[in-house]
Amino acid sequence: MIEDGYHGMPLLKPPVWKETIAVYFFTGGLAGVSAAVAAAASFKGLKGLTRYGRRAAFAGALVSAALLIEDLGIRRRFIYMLRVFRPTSPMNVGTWILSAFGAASAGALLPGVAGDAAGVAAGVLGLPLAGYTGVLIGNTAVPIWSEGRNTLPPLFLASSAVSAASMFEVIGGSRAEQRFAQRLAVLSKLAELGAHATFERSVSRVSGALGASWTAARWGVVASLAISLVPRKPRALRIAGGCLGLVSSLASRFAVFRAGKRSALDPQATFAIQRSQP
Amino acid sequence: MTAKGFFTDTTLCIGCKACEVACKQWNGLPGDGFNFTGMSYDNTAHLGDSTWRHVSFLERPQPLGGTIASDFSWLMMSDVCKHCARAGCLEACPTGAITRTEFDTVFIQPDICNGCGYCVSACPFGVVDRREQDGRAWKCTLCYDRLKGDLEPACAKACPTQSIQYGDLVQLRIRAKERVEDLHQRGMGEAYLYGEKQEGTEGLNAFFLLADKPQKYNLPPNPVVPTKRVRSSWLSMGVASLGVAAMILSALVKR
Repeated sequence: MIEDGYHGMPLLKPPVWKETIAVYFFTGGLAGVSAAVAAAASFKGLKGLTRYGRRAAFAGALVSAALLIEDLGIRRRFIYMLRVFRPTSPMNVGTWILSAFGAASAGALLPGVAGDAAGVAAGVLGLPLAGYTGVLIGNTAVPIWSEGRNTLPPLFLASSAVSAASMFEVIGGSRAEQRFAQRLAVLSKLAELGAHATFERSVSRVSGALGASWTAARWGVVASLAISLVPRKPRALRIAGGCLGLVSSLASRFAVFRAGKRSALDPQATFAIQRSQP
Repeated sequence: MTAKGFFTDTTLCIGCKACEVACKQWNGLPGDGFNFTGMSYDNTAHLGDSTWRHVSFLERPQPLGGTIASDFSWLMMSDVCKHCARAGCLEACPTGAITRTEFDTVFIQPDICNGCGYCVSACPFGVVDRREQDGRAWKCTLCYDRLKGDLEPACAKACPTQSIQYGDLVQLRIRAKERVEDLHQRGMGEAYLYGEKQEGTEGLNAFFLLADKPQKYNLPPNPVVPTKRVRSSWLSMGVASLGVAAMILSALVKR
């Protein structure tokens, strides 16, 4: 039987974004959840977590902005992103979130009450910063992203939490801070595994686009979870587990990003998700 | 201004590609290169940043109703931007570069577009693309400049068989329905309108009369403007954000 389609040509245009965008999904998420952790830790008086969380948030915001501008067709026009407020466009909303987050995370480096207040603002903005990227790619015509429009935001948030927790595992700090990092690492890694499974189920009609990097990312999370679960482990093992968590989180984003490009080029995937629509 | 659009009657298309040429010429678009695709007579392959009309060719080993009895038939279609009533590219555009004109068409303002590429992925028809040379997104403007001068779009002007018809959308729809009825009476039961009504896009301002499944012409059977379903995504992000906040707080509580 001849398959539906036109000479096997792709129906959609593949996303034009470079892999800098996949890296941005990671850096933005890491910055966002780091800020949230720092905000929560500041109330608990955990000085190390607060300090490193805020620094990571600011550095992450700067790197994120650079990565985004790098990918634009006309870089000097980056500021045009802020010439309107357009709630229908997740990219526009996201740019406003990132801009506000960047300002707040810079303010959080100030000493005293001003810094604390800005830190809380950054913490509150950090979570949508980590999650909106899932909304952004979920609301495209790309079959696998479109199918995951409700499961990508939780996946990206969980993966962002893994990256932040893993960063704190690597940093270490006081005993209380290490215990915190370990607990958050275990929780978030479990959450990411759960989010992986729900995402996979949601895209089952077009999951052929998920490559080996997707499977690798999941096993990376499993392995780093296993290390996180070891009580009173040596320093080297703790750092190794954290690094593995960071790499796995990055790998998850790359896997989703690349799957989108593959999926867009497959006309059968486009037909498949439109055949049985409500 | 009344809403303007295209009615492309593919049963009248003879595959001459005058529309492609007229479009390139009027809009001063770069060439696509000298390519041989091997796909019937279609060496243009797809719409793109510099190709705003594209004639597709289907050679079918099956008869077409109401035509001379033969076990073979040709279908040709001049594809174009659909100027959706609810446009995915427009809603996705973060800079406001993509606007709805006074003619109810969708137009990308080249002096605003910063080449973010979101519209490329937001289009369920694969129409918009980013041009390598200047970094901006481009697509059919429905000859916005000609419309302003009270001229019909270049492709419609050049079409020798009136396969491409330009005009008031209301009138085009009436004419299209009559044409389908006429074709049905003549025995071409396959003829139907694509995109005249379409739930996911709320209708296409450039719609088509087709004689085979949309997929055969590389058109999506049931396209949905992606941003139409954005609310549930934001909601799931909100819930997941609360989840991460709860994780952080529970990890902080001393046990």
